Amino acid sequence: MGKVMKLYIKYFASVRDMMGKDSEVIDIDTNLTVFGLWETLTLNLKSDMKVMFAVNHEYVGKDFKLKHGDEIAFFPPVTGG
Amino acid sequence: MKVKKINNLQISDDNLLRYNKHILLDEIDLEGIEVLQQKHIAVIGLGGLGCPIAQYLVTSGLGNITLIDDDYVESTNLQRQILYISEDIGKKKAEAAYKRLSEINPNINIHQYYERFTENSSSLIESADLIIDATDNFKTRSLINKITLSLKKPLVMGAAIKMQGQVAVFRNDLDDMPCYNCLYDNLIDEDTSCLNQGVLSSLTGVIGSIQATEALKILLCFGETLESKLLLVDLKYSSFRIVKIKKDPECRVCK
Repeated sequence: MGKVMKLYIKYFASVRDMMGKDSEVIDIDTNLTVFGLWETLTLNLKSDMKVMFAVNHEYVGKDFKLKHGDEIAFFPPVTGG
Repeated sequence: MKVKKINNLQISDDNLLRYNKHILLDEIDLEGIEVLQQKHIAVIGLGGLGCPIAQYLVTSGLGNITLIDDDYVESTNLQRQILYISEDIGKKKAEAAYKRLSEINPNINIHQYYERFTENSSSLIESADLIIDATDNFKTRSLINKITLSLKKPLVMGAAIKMQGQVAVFRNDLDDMPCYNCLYDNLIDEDTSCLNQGVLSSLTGVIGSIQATEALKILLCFGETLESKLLLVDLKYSSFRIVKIKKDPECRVCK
């Protein structure tokens, strides 16, 4: 097992509804991408919800590598009008 | 019509009264009223977002507004598309909106087009100073982004579904700025459009009003805009957040 990092996680809008909470703090292995984190967090939910990612208040792609202390926000795409 | 000349500005008595509350704002003032009278905004989409956007732009005294939509008013629209009334059902949205907006402020040049925004629509928006995306699907949004990049026009994007929405300003008129496709690439609309999902009536009012506000700020150069930022709005939990958008060096549209 590698080093452990602390991550501050925020869930927004319909992602918050699905997760049933607005935030959590977790300790997890290092060497994780933001999408890898999402897969880990939703492993038991069997959800195919589309999600977007922001790390430290900046939009990032799914391959973004996380580091200790990062704040990750998960939010849904919206195209309606 | 009587016209007052104040510091070489020309504003009629009627308009001094009509725009009084804007004139009293230091950020707008008489000069701002005259600037707006010279400006032209194109609003693409006259649904939940387009209605409040067009209404606030028209009440604010914009010189020209172009409205583009290929849809008809339906009963299910009336819950949130506030320009339309019961007797408009079955009418073209562009025509119904034109009529209502002309009644609200007869001083505005309103250009309405009953047509779908396509690859061939760039001539409809090329004389506009700013474009507002109030459409309801990824494909059209992506196309508007591409065309505003080629025409070099600032783009104010807004989207809404259920009780959540997003607003962003893309400075497609400037070089080396992130574009809509740096944020959204290859989305499948079934996942995100409003056809089979609910929309809170006031949500489109909130998002559309923020889009209109951003447009006015860009044209009048005051305050701080959502340039290269994505505003996330969640009305269910009264939660708001701003996320920065960086230019994607691999973006297939703007790189």
